[in-house]
Amino acid sequence: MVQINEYPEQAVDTVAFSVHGFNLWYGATQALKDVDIDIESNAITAFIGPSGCGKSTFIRSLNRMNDLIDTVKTSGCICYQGYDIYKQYDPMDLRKQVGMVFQKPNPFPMSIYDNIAYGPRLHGRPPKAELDELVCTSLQKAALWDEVKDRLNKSALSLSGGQQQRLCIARTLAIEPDVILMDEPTSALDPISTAKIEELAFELKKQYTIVVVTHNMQQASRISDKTAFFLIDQDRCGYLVEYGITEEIFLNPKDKRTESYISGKFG
Amino acid sequence: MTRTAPTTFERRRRRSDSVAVAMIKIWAFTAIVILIVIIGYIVFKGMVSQSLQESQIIPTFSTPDQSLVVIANKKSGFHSMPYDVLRQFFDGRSFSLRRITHVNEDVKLFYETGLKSDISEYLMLDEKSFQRSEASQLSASEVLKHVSANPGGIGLISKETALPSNVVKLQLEDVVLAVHPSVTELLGNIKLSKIDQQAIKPLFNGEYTNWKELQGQDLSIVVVTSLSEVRQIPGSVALVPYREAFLAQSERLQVLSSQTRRNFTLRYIFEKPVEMGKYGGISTIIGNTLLMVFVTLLFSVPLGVGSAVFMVEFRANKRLLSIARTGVDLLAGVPSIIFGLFGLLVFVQLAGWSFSLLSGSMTLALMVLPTIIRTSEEALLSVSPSLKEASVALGATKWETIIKVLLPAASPGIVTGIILAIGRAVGETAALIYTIGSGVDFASGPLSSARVLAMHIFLTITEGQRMDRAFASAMVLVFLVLFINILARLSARRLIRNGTN
Repeated sequence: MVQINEYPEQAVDTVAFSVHGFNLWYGATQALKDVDIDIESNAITAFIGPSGCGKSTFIRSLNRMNDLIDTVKTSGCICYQGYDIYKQYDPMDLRKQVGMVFQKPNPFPMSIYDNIAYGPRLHGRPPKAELDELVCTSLQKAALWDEVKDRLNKSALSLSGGQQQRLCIARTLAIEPDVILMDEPTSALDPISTAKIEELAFELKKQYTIVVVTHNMQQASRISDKTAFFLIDQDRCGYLVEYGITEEIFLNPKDKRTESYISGKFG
Repeated sequence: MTRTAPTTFERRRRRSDSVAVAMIKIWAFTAIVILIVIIGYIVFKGMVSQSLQESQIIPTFSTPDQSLVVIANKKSGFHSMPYDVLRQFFDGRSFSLRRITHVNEDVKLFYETGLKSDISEYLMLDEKSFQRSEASQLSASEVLKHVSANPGGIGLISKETALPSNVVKLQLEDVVLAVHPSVTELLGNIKLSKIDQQAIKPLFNGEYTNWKELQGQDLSIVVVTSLSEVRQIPGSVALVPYREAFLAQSERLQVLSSQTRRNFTLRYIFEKPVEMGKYGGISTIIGNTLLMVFVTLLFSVPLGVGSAVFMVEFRANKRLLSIARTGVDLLAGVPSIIFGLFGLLVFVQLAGWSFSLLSGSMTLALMVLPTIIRTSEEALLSVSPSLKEASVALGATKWETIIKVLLPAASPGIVTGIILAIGRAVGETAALIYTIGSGVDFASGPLSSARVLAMHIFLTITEGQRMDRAFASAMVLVFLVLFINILARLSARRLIRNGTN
């Protein structure tokens, strides 16, 4: 593999994703235009913007989930730890390192234990004791262990919505990724569950790089270190407007459009 | 706000709503009633067989002073012994009980020492018949012992003694209706040849006065007691022993009796068929049916579910997909007899498998394929795409996602499809007529002929003319389908237990 080092001024270890001139098309329709962004390691990066602005499409590009749609075409480069994910990565390997949590909790219709063990079992056959340990630590990291430790063999669907979402996070943690992508992880949850997930994200930041898409402005300001604001142009194509430290984006935005979005003038 | 009376339009709207609800209820109720009637009728006919019998011997009537006591083993199923049946046995013309009862046993005759002349006189038989029937002459106690040991044992003794528990005394029916020839005469397009069993008692109680009332000639009924009187008085009728009437060559009226017997017995399930299913049970046929279903599923399930996965997962080629789907729909609409013909040409002749389990099962596998493909496709499409995403996001390949997430999540629907397929396969006849053969033995290998239940029903009616047997088999078939259904449902529940809990 060839290491691409187009930005020698930035140290590789502090940048997880380095995106340069990224475009994405659904068939003939362009959905993302010229995205340039560096996503920091061990920090929470929030993507905000109105519906349809391409923030979900972009986060799904980061672990190549868009490959599932046959008509998707991309150009430009997304480098993960210096390697182009569309050219130098096998998608399975990439997704093992870049985990994802979805908008709606989507546990498998299996037991809680099997849900967590699903990923590890794919990537090798860990011995039972090791697997038990992994399930336990994953659930502990996701702050779910105390609630489910007595019923690991019960169906995951018997959990509440918030618990299911934390289970999905635990499931992602179990494959031991470096990055966790969260696509509106709290939009289907009640305020209490939302608070727990936010707390969890804050905790996980120490070990993982977290990227979160959210519609909730307060959430972005509460938990994220950096915020990217996306917007949609006349051709219904999404683009990045402003990217920077969260406090600056919210308190002192450079772009007028960011300011009017944050103050609730549109979107 | 004040409440206002509903407008005419509103009233009409509500009325039409309640009419619609009532209609739906009536339809649903009718459908359920029809189902219950059909299944109930099959079960009733399967459990009980009613047959009209015509014979000279009047059932349940016997002459009072009989010198012979007929005993039989309880397993034989006999409760009474008509004179002519006993005569057939001792005449050596009938060797098996199965023509008279549902028991498939050879007849073994025993009689007490010294009764030979009595028997030959009573049954009007000669020495030759005795030899033919291989009846054994034994002491009274020996007769009892042998009858109790042989399920097909029938014994004759001179006087009633204490019987072992599994031996019963049979009533010997030997009475006929002797009439003056004028009663059975053909006159003016009217001829009386038989009367109903139910009419005999009223006839002798004097409730009828004219033969006209029994669809006979205009002749008054005279009830007499002896054969000599019958011969002289026109319109006379008497109850006389068969033997006397036979020897005197007197006119006799046939008696119509309806016989109600237990049709289905446990023996019927566990015994082998005899004479191509005319007698005996259907154990091997049930076995063949299960075997056939198994072989059919062995081929159709992997192929069908595989096709469904292909059609769901590889949707990129729209043209190919639409061709495949049209093909499947067309295949589902093809009449089963066409599949039978195809099986005859391809499996029986081209492949050279002849009429065999394999030919039949392969034909059925093709026939049920569309059902399995369509239901599996529906089931797979109904699995939330978010599960697929979750699996892929954890680094699973397409194949792993299909095997570990998609198929388990779709399994209830797939199992439903398989149940439907089993239902079709078990009940299929037309596709099997030319392919599976009709041997009643348990299939010894894939290339041996194997009669299955649906075919058995078809064949017992067309060849054996045994309506009662067909209904007993039909009942077994209904319960077999029910049983398979329950089994499949239970296994489906086990499959999804983790899912729903």
